[in-house]
Amino acid sequence: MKSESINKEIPDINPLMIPLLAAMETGINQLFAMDPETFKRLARFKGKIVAFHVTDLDQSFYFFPDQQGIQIVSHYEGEADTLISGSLPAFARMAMADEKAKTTAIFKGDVTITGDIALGQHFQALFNQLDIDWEEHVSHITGDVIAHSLGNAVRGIFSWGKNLVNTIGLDVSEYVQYETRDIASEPEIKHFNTEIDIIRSDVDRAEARLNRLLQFQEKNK
Amino acid sequence: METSDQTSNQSNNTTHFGYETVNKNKKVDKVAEVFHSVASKYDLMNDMMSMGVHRIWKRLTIEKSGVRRGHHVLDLAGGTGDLTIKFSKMVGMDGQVILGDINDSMLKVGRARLLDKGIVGNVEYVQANAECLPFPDNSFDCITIAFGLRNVTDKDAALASMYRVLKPGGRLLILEFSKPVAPGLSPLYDFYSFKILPAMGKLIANDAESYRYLAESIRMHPDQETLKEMMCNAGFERCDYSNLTGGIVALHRGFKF
Repeated sequence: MKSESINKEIPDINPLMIPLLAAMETGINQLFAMDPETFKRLARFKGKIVAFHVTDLDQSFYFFPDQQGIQIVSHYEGEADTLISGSLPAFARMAMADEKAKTTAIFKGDVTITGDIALGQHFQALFNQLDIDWEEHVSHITGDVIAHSLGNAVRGIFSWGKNLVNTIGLDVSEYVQYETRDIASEPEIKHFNTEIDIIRSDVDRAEARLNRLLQFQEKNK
Repeated sequence: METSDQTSNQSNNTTHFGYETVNKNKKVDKVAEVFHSVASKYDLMNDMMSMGVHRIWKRLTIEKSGVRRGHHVLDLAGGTGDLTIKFSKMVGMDGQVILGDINDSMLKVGRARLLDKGIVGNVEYVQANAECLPFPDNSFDCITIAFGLRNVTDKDAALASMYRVLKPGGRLLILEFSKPVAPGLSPLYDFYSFKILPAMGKLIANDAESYRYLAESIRMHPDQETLKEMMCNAGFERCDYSNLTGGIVALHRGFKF
């Protein structure tokens, strides 16, 4: 049985992509190695394929997870189970964001998930669940005391940073709702829905009236 | 050039083993000796010799393979299993990868390595000679042979055998050392191959001879165009090649229709 790929032009691979893929794979797997629970979670995804498509670069990345970590390729001639598409800025926003900004991104259509949506969400959750004990890792290099002091300092910075990120997150969504008016704010949506309800009731009333008039006309013929 | 050498060799029943001329039936033994000797240090030496670049070459092979879920893949001269590990994830549990190698020391290292990584279920290990593959016709969606073809005594027979066991629509990928095309590369490459490599081999694997053989066998291997022609002669279609790292390595690809 002849394979379909015969008639497809096989795209040429950008050789510069290859070292990038290697670096991505190594980097992500090292990150996973810092929280060993992750490998157990990854094992559940074995056999699944999650694809990311960066629209503005027209570049795809196919992730093959299993208990060893993740393998990434840029060309796969089959179908992925889940496809997560978006522009580079949209992915960046999703990476740093809280739930509200994430939902906004998907609602706006910035990032779309097709195929097995549950798989896509569980896969994303994996990254959120990463619980890395940085102090433990640093202590291997510096010893416990220094690591702990460093840890305190970093925790301080992170909590300031987290507040900053939350604020930025809030700022962005507020900006997008109220300043650029790209998406409707909650009160606006509520108001809009109420207006629709009113119109619907009006239409029902008008229809009822029309029916009565027609009946009346029939009777008096 | 290669073909006329082969004709005269055939009548003499000799072939090349690096720069040495040996009896045809001796070559396979001598190659076996080389790989029994280097097997345990093979991965380390690859990293040292190519400064890690061999991983990039192999990644490109994977990207061009077109392998997907459910596919049957033959990784010939697969040795320590670099490509098999990656293919195993791409074919999934419904597919299968056969790690084939003529050398049992290499095969043992490969199998141990894969088992260590927990890769079981869709990988089989077969000791096989590429010149006469022990598989039915039309068995595989993809066949790869990475850095193995230059060690095969009768390359035409191997290509014909690979053609036979490939499914219609399937493809063959040959990753192999070739003739540098980038200007000025050749003298540097020669110096590296004949002076530095054997010294590294002596230091790390305590075996300068095997690495000298390696350098020589690369010189005796057909160049890009010749290998492409050999593939066409074996029946492959839409044959093409990509030069990697200035032509030091070439990735040839052909299809069976």
